[in-house]
Amino acid sequence: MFDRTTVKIGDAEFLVQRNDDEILVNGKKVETPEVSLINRFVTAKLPNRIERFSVNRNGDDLWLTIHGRVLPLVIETDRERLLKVASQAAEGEGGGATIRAAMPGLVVKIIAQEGQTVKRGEPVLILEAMKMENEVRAPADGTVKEIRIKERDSVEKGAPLIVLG
Amino acid sequence: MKSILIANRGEIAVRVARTCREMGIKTIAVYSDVDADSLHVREMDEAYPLGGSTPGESYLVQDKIIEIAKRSGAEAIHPGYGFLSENASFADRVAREGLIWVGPPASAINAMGSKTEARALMIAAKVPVVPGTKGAVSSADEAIEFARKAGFPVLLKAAAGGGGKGMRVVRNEADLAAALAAAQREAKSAFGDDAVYVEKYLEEPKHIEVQIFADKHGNAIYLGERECSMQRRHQKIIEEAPSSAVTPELRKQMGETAVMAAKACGYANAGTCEFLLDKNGEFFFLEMNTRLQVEHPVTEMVTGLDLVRLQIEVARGEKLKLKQEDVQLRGHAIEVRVYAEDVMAGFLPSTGVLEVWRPAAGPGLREDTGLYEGAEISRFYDPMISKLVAYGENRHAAIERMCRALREYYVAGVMTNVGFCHFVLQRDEFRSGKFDTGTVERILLPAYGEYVRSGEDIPDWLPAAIAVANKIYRTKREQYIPNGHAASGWKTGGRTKSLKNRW
Repeated sequence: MFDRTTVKIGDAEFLVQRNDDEILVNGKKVETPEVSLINRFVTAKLPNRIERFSVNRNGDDLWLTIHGRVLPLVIETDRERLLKVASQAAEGEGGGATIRAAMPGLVVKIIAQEGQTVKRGEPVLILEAMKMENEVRAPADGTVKEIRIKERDSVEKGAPLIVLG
Repeated sequence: MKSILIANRGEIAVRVARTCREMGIKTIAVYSDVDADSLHVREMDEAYPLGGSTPGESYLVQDKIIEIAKRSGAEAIHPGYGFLSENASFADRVAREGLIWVGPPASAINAMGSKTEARALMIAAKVPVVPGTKGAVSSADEAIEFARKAGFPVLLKAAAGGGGKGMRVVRNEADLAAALAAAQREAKSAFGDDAVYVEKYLEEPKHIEVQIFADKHGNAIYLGERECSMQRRHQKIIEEAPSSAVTPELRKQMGETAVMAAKACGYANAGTCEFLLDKNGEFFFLEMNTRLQVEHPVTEMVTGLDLVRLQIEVARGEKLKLKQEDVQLRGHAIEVRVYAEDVMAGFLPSTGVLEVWRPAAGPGLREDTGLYEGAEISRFYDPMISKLVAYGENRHAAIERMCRALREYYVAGVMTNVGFCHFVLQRDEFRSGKFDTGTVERILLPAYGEYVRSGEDIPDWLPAAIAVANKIYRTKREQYIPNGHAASGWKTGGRTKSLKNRW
């Protein structure tokens, strides 16, 4: 029985399967790294050398730092993948997408109106953080189903702002 | 002068306090409610609360600052940059209250503080300026009228502005009204003044600024230039001294123009003349910043001077010890502004706790910061973590040193632009020196996006090691946080917290 984890680094996706004896990456057997972990620093012992990298988190975002390169990272075990699919199915009953605050801030202006159709990339509201106004854009074409905030509201990171139908 | 109240926060407050200490001057801090645990409060001799959390409730409240200055027996006020540093009425009030203002006289701030008035003054002094409206525009129609005459694109700028706030590039008429409204709102919120004027937007210029220094006895010198063209959203990310685009002849020409500008407004103390330099080597006066700049350390590195010390000496009424011919530039310095931000999401601020922080160290480096490990980067202030400065005997050495430093630099808890800056420093666009104020957004950001997304050169062992590490991490977490009720909330709380500090 293999333990399966999907690791996405940037746009490159890898399926890692492992059991007690071996590790397969995208179906290909690789040398099993011996891994130790201190804080977020990872040391991977390979047969003839040692590699180091770190994995970091802010909210739901994970990223990887290796050799001065910083790359977005998604790690998903099979169990998490199932949970995610299930919750998406539940949330998506209305078929819509929720626009969430990418950072904490103040709602300065709501541009979109309920019932309005918006195109992907169209600004729907303006959020101010650190004294800069930032346009929040629609992630996809759709209809504004519900506006969950008012102008001058203070919102936390990840707060639902607008529901698209 | 035995004591100075530093009316600021963060890295600049710490920076100013360091020089004060070296000069034997007592340092007095002020702080907002959210800043009670800040480094600037810890590092100064005395600290007094302003209350409030937003700048409008704290660092901008003149009455409170004056009252604290009197109560604490401060003899002088250093404003740092931002906040009240370019507020002429505050500078004037400080002087009237019998305190020493470590900055230019209110009259010079007035003349230069309003970008529109400064332009008029420079035109009168025969200093070349970028074409623009005479003053702030009162309506979108007025802005459109100028834009039609000068041609798009145009740049909307807050008259009281700085730091990219209240600034918008407009490429066509249809967007102008909305952009103007947004710029006015931003200007109002950042500076308490919604006056916005319109300038012709020069395509692909370099942003070069000249550091000047003047005393109260009519002496003024220039301390060379800084190259500040590496910008995103009109905010500088990487600055250098000297600029590879400036020849000794051009340096002299720009320097003398800057000194002329300073003399035209009766300037004293530290100031910066910003110029746009076009491809033909022609330069235009943009504005004069009547304060110490964020990027002043690169000038300090190549001149060997302490600009804050000079500021204090000049404020005390002393004559400049340096003559122009004493100013020698040596080597090259680069500053990277390390921001807590999500580069790929359009440089959005990333707030959170600096859970792990290991800054770079070693030969030829300097780091100015207002934070410490465990400190929180809140939404109330600029998300800059630190200014990292590398010095080298020449530009190449400074670049290599900065690359090395960025590889050492490590932060956990918030996202940073360290990876992006490391990428930029290795690119030909940067190394050749042939970049302008639009290079980041036009070329480097898209190239970085590609670099980050492409998974081509990722070795097989890496996803394998990540999956194994992830398993170890999760197993540990499950061991520490069992289902059901725990014996002690303190214990599990502590364990959960220590585990949260993993990933």
